[in-house]
Amino acid sequence: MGTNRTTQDALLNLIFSATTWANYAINATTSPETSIFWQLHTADPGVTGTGSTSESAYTNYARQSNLRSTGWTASSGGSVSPAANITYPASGASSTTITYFSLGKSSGGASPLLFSGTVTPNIAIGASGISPQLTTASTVALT
Amino acid sequence: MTEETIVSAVGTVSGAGGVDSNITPKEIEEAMAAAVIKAMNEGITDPDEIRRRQLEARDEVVKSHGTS
Repeated sequence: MGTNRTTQDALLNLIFSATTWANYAINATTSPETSIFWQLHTADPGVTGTGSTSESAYTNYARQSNLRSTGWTASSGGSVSPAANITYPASGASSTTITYFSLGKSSGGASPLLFSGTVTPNIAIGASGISPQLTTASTVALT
Repeated sequence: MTEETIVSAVGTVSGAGGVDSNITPKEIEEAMAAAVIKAMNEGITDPDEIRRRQLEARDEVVKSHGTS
């Protein structure tokens, strides 16, 4: 037994593109979230974590975001990807390794997460001038 | 002035484990990440191809559990 592929695509399109799931759900009509925020983590935030759980704190780090309207590909095959690369500010003098990322609700603080996953390969930040980037090959896939 | 170097990587999320409770998200995530590494080792940089390989890896894990 599994989640039907059409259902997977409908759920992902609702979450990431604010697209109505015909006959089941529409985007929030009062204060809908307009962006998805991207956090970088130095360890797995886990299923109970928040945006600030093990969140990277390299010098100059700041969460990035993309729009729920145009920031994502339409779901296909039960997966979505960002429409453009997600690029973070270049580091100041820091020493850390990015191993996980997450997608969540707010630009700062212990905000709720939608999903989290691995960063491949891990990104080592060992000096100034390193600008981490998650490419458009990044994928959120349901099963 | 410090020179800026962009270091690219691929983020992978597997939303498994909901209905298909016999498959762990970690199992699928690891297979998808391995597919990314393999593609990179082969010199593949096309995002579409990397995505395709990740989903292929996901589907293979699902099939191996007989839940496709």
